Amino acid sequence: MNKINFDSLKNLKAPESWIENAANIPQTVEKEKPVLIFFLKHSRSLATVACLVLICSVSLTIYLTQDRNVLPIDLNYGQAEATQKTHSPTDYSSDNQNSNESIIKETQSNNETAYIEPTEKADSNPSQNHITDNTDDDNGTNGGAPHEDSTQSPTQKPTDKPTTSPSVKPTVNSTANPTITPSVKPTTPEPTIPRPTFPDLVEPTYNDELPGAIPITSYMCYGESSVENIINNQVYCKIFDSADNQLGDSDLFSKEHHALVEKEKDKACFGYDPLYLGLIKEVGTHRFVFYNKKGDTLCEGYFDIDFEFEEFGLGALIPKDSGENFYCFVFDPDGIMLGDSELFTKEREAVISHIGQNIIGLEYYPGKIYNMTKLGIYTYAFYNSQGTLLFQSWANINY
Amino acid sequence: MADIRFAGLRFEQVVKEYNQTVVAVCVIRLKNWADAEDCFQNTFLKLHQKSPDFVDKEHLKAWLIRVAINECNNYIRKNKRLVSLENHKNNAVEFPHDSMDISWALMELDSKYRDVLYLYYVEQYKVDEIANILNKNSNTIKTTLKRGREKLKQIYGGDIG
Repeated sequence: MNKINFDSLKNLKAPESWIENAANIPQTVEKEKPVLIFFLKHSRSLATVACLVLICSVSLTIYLTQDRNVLPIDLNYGQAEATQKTHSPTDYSSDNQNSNESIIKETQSNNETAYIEPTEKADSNPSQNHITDNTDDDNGTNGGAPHEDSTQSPTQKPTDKPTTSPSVKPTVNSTANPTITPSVKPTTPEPTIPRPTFPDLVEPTYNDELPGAIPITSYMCYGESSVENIINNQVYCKIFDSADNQLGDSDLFSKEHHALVEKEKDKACFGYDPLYLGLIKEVGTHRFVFYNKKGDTLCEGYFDIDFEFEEFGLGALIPKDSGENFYCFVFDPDGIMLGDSELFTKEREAVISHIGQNIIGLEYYPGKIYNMTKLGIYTYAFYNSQGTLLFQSWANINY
Repeated sequence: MADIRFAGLRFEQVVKEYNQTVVAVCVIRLKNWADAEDCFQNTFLKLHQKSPDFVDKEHLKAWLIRVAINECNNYIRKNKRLVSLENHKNNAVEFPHDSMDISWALMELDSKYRDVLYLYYVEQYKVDEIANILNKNSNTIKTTLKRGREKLKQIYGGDIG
């Protein structure tokens, strides 16, 4: 055979014992069925468990019937002076940290708005505008915002002001909602989802705790090189459209061109997401080039853009002990929560995409579920099943 | 137990017909026979427990693949710290280095590329079908395929077209 193939994989066979054991599963399960015997054998333990459950239920009932706002999530955000629970920014991304810390008391008295209107005016020069950075750091990437391989929601500063006075449609309000499951533990104060500011750039980390939202290998532009080619941990990336026009800032060493760098022994990996920066304006094949501080090319490649835009990916990095199940809530440019009025539904379940030492990465693809044809700023937030806000941000779909 | 059918097949028939696919998915994910066995069994156990209704055999196969991948992911998450290196080496899945049969090269890729390339080249699924199985956007699959091909090419030094 003179054609490339994967015959070994194609012809891979499970050992006979595996097949036998699997085929016997129904019989094996049947044998384990005597539930009555189980109950008889473990009656004391079961009774203890039942008592504990009863005590917890009664306590919870008493607690919930007290006069307090039980909803940890108030999705009628925009309420006056709402604050929200924040995570202590210990060892996870400063994107999360800044996102939480930027939440301020909102004093809008009239309208229910989904988010704070941008305080900065839109600027036609994205390189100056898209990152508010007070640090002297020149290594970072634009982390914290969502990105995934070929679909993206760039978090460039909006060119349009979001619509004011959106009505949060009959989803959840601050009064008790019968659709909320009893397991939702109330947290005070009720969180809101104002518009976060752009996070400061940070030094890239060199372990698996990425400042970005997803693993570096998932970046739209990805490359590798020997560590010795890297100068001062600084790698840059430039993008060319299908007509070979260079996109973005003409200053090739500006922050807009900073790539995320990760080192492993003698290898360095870089990631760069032009969609996140709002650089991509057309469909077609684009070329990218990674280069170092001296301008030496490290590697280059191509990616295709095909803007069906049925979806974009949202991501977040959260501490590893944040809970077991995670959900993502998305609000359209008018502040309307997408999806079911019942909060913790399957359609809102976020996927764990990355597990680090102290963090985990979450992903969510609302475009697969909801109709997201409206252009503008979408706000989103990740919660755990207890209703604790874990991460929030916004994304601009402007094409 | 009543004779439940899955797309018209009895349980044992399903195991016989799809064991190859399930073991390949598990092996690709875990690269280790011992670990793959657990996930292999759990996949069929899930089939028995859930007993979903399948429209046709393709639906059943896609379901098995997705469950197998999920089982492997869960296994990795739970056992990441517990796998002893020695055990892992002894049970590692290896394919012979061959200039034509590049299964060995595929095993050297990142797991996300392995899944997609396997489903595309070995199972002959289309991009949209892969996207459905893996619950990802088809553009993502296209990009992953493209990137996976490039990396595969770097590993084995040719082109799979």
